[in-house]
Amino acid sequence: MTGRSGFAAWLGALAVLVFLGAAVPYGPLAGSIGWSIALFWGGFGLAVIVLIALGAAGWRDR
Amino acid sequence: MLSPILIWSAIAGFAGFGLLIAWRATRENTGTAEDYYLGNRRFGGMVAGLSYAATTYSAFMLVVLTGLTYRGGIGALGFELIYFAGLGLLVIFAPRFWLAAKRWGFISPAEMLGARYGSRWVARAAALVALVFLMPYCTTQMAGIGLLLSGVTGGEITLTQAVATGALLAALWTLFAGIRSVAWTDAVQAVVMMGSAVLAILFAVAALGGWGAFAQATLETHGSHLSVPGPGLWSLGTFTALSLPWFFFAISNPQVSQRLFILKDMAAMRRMIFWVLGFGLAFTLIAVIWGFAALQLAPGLENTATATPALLTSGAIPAPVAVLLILGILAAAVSTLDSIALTLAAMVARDVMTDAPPRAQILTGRVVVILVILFASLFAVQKATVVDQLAALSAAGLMVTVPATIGAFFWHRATAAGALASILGGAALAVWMAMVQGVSVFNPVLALSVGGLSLGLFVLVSLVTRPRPEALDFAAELRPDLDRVNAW
Repeated sequence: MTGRSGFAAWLGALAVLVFLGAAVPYGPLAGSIGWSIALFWGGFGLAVIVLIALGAAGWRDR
Repeated sequence: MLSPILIWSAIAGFAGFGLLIAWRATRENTGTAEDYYLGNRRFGGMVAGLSYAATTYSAFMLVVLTGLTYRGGIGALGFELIYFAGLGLLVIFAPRFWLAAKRWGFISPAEMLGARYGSRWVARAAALVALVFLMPYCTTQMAGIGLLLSGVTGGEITLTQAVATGALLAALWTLFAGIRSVAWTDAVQAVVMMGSAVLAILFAVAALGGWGAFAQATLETHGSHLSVPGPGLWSLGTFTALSLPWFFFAISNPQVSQRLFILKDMAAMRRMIFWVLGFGLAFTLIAVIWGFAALQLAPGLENTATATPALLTSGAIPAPVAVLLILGILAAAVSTLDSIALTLAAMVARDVMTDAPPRAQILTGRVVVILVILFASLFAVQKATVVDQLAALSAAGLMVTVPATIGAFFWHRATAAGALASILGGAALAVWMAMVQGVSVFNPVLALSVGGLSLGLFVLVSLVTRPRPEALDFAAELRPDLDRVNAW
């Protein structure tokens, strides 16, 4: 469908990441008292940046 | 309490600087509608990115998100970061919006939808939904300014004075040179927002004995706030209810999606996205940390929306830094307000006055800007319940344009009737559930029902109707352009 490959994998990664963004704090980490949830979400934010950077990495002006 | 004279002096200096920038922007004007609303599509990544950031990160952050953290704890961070993850939609849609707008000369996102489906009524429906849900959202920005300024001065600066100040700044910065003055002042305001917030948070943490002591004290005194569902607010249902509509913000809110039309090239687009990401993550963390600091330095507040004014007047933040942060929050509110006003102006000028000449479209836009700001000001002062309800509903309400937007680029079979049914049916359900049935925006049934109906109507009605002959086929026609810029 496109000249650039990898769209399905990238979209799947975004979907999984967003799912984990809710599922981990409300699943394994639910009710834990400490900084683990804050640290998880901090890492989640950085992972979002990396994923978006990968998605935009191939853009070019021609 | 802070001295009103000090605050007025700071605002005067800030306003003067902003006016200078706005006046300078007028010298670049060429008098066309494309120039007034999109700056001739010649913006670079940094200004566009800072403008996008200042527009999307409003007074909500340091007033409402801070209050939600104060009330419910760390769940506020997760909610805001799900919105942040929604910026990933830009990877898919930013090149498409930009290429389509450039190729067919679109000025507003509603105009783009109308052309794709071959129906002015689709454009008008999208514009109507934006008006209904974004004008009340402007009111909350005004109310935020009022709450802050009256809160930190013990009421010496009245709500009316505060609202009038915000209105004047937003009107002047928009009317001067349209998007050029809005974007340039936005960029400066983004710097003020970030700089003042960083300074304020450093002083707050220092007052608590440093990062280690702050973390330890939070764990000991408010340990439940570090957990979900925490003290009660952030149940999974509430988290879903708020996060779902906000995830689609980047393509559902025209004041930010229109920013995708102003870029000069793909390199600028990539830079814009990185600026937004960097600003967004930092500002989100600051707003949440600020809420946790308020728990320590201003405990026991009944109205958690006053957490920021209470922290600013707690004695922990030096007066000059507090005043700077007040300017930062004022900047956040004004930058969001003027961007929404300009986008709504573009929608009315292009989608309602379809065949008007360029000068009339600019004049109409200026009138609409004034009307939007007047509306926001009047209702902020009057504190009308109906407006508050619509404002809270804005994210869920604007979500009704998402199926038609995604379908515009990915489903050849999508029709104008499907888009219309989806937008109007979803919006009607949102208003009925929230305002007639009293379903709270914190209840996931609202967002799921509105999103579900909007999607269902879009698919079903499209399947039983036919695309109009004059409809554009974005998926096929943009494919060569997407390949050329190496976008998916």
